[in-house]
Amino acid sequence: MYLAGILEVATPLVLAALGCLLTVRAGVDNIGLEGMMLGGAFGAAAVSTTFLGPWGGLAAAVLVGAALATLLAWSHLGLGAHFVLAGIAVNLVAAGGTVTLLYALNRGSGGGSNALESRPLPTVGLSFLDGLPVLGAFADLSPLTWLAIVLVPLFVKFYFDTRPGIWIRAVGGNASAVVEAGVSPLRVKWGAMLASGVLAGVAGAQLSLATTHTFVRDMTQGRGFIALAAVYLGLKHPVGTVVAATLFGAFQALTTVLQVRTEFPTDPISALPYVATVLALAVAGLRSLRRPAVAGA
Amino acid sequence: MRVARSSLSPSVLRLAAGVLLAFVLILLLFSVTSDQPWRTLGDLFTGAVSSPGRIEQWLSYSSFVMFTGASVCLAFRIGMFAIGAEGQVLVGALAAGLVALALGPSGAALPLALAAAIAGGCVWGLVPGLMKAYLGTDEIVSTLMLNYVATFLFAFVVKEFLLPPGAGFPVSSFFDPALFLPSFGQAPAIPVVLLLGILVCLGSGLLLSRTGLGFRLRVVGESQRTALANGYSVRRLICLVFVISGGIAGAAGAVIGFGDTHRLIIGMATGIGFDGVLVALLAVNRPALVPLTALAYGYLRTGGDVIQITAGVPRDVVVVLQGLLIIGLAALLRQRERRRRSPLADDPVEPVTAKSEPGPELGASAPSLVPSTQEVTDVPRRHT
Repeated sequence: MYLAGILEVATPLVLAALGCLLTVRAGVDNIGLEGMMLGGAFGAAAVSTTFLGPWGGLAAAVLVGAALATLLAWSHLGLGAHFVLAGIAVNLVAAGGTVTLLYALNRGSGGGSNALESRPLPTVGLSFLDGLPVLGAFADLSPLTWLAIVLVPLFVKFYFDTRPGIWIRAVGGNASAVVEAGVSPLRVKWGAMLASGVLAGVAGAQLSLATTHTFVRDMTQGRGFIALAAVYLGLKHPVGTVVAATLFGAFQALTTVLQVRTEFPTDPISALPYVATVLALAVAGLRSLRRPAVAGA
Repeated sequence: MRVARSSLSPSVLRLAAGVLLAFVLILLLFSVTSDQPWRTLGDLFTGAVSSPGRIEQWLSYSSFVMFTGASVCLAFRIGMFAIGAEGQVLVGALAAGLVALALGPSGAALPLALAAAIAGGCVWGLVPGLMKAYLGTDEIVSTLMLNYVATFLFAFVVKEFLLPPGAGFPVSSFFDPALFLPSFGQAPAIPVVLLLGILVCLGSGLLLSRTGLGFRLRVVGESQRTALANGYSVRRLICLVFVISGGIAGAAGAVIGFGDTHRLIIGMATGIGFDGVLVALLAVNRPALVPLTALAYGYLRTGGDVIQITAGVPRDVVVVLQGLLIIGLAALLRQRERRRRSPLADDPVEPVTAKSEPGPELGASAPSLVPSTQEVTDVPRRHT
């Protein structure tokens, strides 16, 4: 029961963090992740209620994520805006845009202006697992959680063993080597950002089509930044990133349980991912100090 | 700093095109949210002066953004991409609020609370500053994370310790009215905060342009190598700028508390740090220009509040505009820096291969906006 909850909550974090890992390794901290998730969540909810249904909603989430990633990549790589500013801009556009469009959608129907009901994705029913210890948690999961579960090993394979994976890792570390290999670092960065946008969009769809069945304004609530934190806490390694994202998911699930059942203050627990990441950054810095003369110093 | 006149016109053209595009987009958003898009557009641009109360709201909101704008300018000017103003404001507000609530109507409460706010902001800036200077930690990530730590810390303290009995939503009790920052005159009243905001911006500008410390800071921003070669203590200067900019942002927390909300409210300063980024960009990272850009942005922002009431259009429309403005300004600034740099490519830090690569990070580095992480991570190593 609790395991299923963790998987559910961790899904968007894992998906977004994996995408973010690609951009971070390509030399761009994706600050816009939060906005891409939010846009994805909105697109998913808005389209799911039309004749296209929840799967159409999922496709819309992918498109919105990719569109916001295009905005980010174009601003940064095309126009030369610093990626932090471009990322902040993407977040603002997404936050303002979703609320505005939410209002526009609800205006006709006379509904409230703060939320939008969605038609959720059907869960993957594996009733034969029901009642089994541990495995029982997998009996009724969202298809996107399954996607995340399947994606992780594929991603690790992609990351370490394929050419695009190697290019991405090389671009952030040693761009000139990539140039000499005849690959445009610019295109690799574009690719990494678009992939990150798509994954963030799907992560948003999980929020509005599976975890909850509504879109609420600002519903991502910093999950994009938690995903970024997971990348850094996971030492920019795919396995570490997945572990960190899952751990953060577990904490979030715990917060929800505590909020519902007890009076225990949850804010310190909610702050843990961020505190842990700051500490991890400091520790990583200390370690690199002890190991001087790395790259041509 | 000096831009060739001849090369200015294309960028002016591009600016005009950008402004036009923004207008079209805003109209488009209004046409789906409002029955009278043109009238709403008019309200957006006149809302801030539609009544004396709105004028006061405009002026006081702008002055809050002046603080964060000055804070962001200082960090950006020395090439630090610190975006922690958001969290520093909250810590400052929390510190000021705690002191104010503890001391009550005492005469020393206001200065002590302000000092506490500045100290809180300084501490929240010192942490990423130390990490950056001595451990080579990426300041972007650390400041972002600390923003969230501050948010939760603020919420925790307010909910657990400051909630007055019977409060329906998470707020503290009101501060003593003796602590409220006054306004001069009537209709429209000029808030004292406005004077403070302008003073802070001018002070930061003077610090950068007229003092020895400011000169050293600017050298660090231009090229850390040059600074090191001149024997400056780069790490200490980096820490110092983080502390100063944190302190200014912290002070913003106090003035918001005493000038506007009059108590601690969860979410009382949401977005003010990122608004500071926008006005700093608009001012080309010159603190002395921040009062003007803050007033301009505050004007639009207040107009957004007005259309929410007059036309029912969510004020978040302005947030979209804010995002697009940031992209446009960052791109313009970038091109300006590139032009300034290109004739005299005197900075030897960049690798030679960079020329073949058009990507923004590998081209000639813009001192005020692109802190080459390479340079900074080099600093500790060279010393050890």
